[in-house]
Amino acid sequence: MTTEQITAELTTIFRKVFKAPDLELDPSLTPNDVDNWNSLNNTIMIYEVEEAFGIKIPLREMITIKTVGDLIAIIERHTAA
Amino acid sequence: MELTFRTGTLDDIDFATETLIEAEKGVGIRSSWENIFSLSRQEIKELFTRVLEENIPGSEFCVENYLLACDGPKVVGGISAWVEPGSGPGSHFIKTALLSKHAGKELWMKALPKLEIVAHGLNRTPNTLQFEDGYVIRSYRGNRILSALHKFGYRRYLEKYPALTAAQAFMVKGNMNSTNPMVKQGWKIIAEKPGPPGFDEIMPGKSILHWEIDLSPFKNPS
Repeated sequence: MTTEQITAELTTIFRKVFKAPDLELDPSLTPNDVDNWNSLNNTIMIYEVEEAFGIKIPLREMITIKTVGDLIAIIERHTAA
Repeated sequence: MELTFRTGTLDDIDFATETLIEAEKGVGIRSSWENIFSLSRQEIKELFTRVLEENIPGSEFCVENYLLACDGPKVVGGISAWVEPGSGPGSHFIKTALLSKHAGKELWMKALPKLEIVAHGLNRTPNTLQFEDGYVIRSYRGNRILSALHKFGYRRYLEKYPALTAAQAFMVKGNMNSTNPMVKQGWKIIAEKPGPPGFDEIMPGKSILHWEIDLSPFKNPS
């Protein structure tokens, strides 16, 4: 998958999970920048990502996610494998 | 009785697990964790053991973040302590990642409505020392062991992070057995946050007290 394809899928997930229908994803976005991106919703978002991309994000990678860009990089790594 | 103090190691997982459960019981029989996940005491112990074996720092779910009081080789009291990150994932993100991965999706999603109730209003201040889940075994209570553990924590973390200015803790109102020594030490309640509907069906009280202490009196004069 290309970065653009991943970002498009991720945008759909973020808009749904964080209830932000107009959200535009930018690699620099952090939880502080997105309403409702709290720790509980973060776990739901990760479950949705795992299902949509058919991957499993290991715990130790999950806790390194500081930005949308970090998440995109993890998805790229796992979908390329 | 001559107490010594140390930090936890992976050999202390059983005591840390006991602390996580007992500290959340208040005067009730079931801990809030049993209520949240609708699991038995044994199942919660097994879940916490798996979580603690990960040994990921940054929240109360890391055994190396535990400050322990020992009478000889016997661990008699403990409290978790860590510095809330100033950037990157906060302790709540680490804690929920650990719990959700080890609980599994089905159990996590079932517990989510209750987790949303208990997480309401729990915002930890970045770059402050956080204390959570203090517990002393019954036969050693009344010896101000939690107070001594707090002081051990101030010394330890101020050595490592000299810029720290405050320590904080959240406690359920009603679970007040250990707060008198805290007040004597200088802790103050800086906010009381009423729980949302259903809070007191899960937790041992109706609201959360946010406590803070100024750490400057505990700093070594330079």
